[in-house]
Amino acid sequence: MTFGTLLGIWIAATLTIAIFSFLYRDNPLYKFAEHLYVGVSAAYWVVTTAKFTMQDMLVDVFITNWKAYQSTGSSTAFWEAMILIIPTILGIMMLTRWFGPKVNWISRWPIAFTVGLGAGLGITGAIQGFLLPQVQATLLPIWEPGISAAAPISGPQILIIVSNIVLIVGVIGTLIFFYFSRPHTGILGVGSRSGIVFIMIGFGAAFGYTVMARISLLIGRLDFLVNTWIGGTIRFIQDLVR
Amino acid sequence: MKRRVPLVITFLAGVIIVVTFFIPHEPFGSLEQRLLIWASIIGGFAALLGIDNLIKHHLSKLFRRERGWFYSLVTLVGIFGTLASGIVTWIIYGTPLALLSGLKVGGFLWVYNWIIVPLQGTMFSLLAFFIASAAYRAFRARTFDALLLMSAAILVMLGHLSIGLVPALVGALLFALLLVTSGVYRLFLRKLAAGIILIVIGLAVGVLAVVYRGMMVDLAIQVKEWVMGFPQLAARRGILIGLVLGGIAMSVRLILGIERTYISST
Repeated sequence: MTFGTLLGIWIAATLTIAIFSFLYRDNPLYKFAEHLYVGVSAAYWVVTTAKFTMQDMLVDVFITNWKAYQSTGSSTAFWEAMILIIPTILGIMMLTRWFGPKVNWISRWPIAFTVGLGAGLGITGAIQGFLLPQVQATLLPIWEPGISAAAPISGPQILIIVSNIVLIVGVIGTLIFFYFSRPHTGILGVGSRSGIVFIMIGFGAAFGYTVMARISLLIGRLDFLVNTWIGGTIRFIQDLVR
Repeated sequence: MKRRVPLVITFLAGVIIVVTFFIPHEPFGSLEQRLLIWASIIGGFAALLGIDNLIKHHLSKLFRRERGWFYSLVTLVGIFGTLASGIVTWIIYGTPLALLSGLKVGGFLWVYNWIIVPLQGTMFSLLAFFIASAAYRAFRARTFDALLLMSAAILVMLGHLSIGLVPALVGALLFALLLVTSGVYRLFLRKLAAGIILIVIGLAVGVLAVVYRGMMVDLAIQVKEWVMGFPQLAARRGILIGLVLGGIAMSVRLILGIERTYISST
């Protein structure tokens, strides 16, 4: 273990304990760690965006195509480089927000562009990638073929049929619960009530799942404190003594 | 110019994306991917605005010596320290996320490993405690719906335990006791049918847990998978289908220029 790693482990352990100190009450140590997290995360995001978006998608692509154009005279490479001027200009327009109300309206153009893209994808992508597959996955058989007096229904077959019915009724009930255009009376009332039942089970299950995920994270952090921090420090000292 | 041009841009960008979906041939075939890259590049410029706002906010707190100015200083040190480590690592190794020999990493990845990961992991793990206290308030099974919520959560948590037979058996017996208690409470409220049903289910769960105690761990996992795979999935799917339908309606409104709030923010 290097000294840099040991230093990192100690800093990580200190910050971990600082965050856990919030369990007692809000205190300066927690606030310190919280504000550090905000600053470090924001800067991390900026650096990774600069590398993986601005360099890899803009600068490198432009330079590669420009060099290809200069060496081969390829018009495709020329246009591939030149077309990157459009997102660059749109990006610079975004920065007009820095220069006050006289020019900051220009930033609406790139915003409008990204909103338009999102809206377009919100139609085609959502329908193809989500809506249709989900509806398709809900169209399940509620009867097993081949069941007769000679071949009576088996336990696993009953479970499949019941489970499929539960899924179909649950999806339809939940959709009815969120349908507010008519009052929930009569058939709609029954559907809405069944929707509430499924939503409660769904939220409860999601809650249980989240609790277990958080407990798993907690175990991870406690394991870090015991094995990596204390154990690692002891091993480092033992290595020094040897 | 200030309002119409953005509306036209939104309309054209939205329609182009829809058209590229239906015409997968050149020049439309690759257009969607290209436009998405452009959106990422614009997002990269927007990142500058974001970090600039954060820095300005904390600098102003610092210079005005407002309450909590020291924490603003901490945030600024975090920002500039991380930026400096990223830039230096990038210049030296050609990428900020440099992996060196063995366990050694560049300075930027060091910040990630020893500051961001522990802070993020601990922040989320802290929620385990608050979720537990929230559960205490939410899970008082006074109504049938709250009972369903609690039962589903307990069954899923039991299914996730991988610590052996005894905890699973104890968990199942506690769950049975909870159902019986809830049933008795309903009897006190003069809800006879609900009370009797809950007591019968509770007793059945308890008896089954004792009789089939050898299979408790497997059974708990199977029950958890069934709850997650059918009733939970049904509710989630219903909610998500509703969300997507709402999203499609909103997208159409945006493309047609009916929804204009996004251009009134400047």
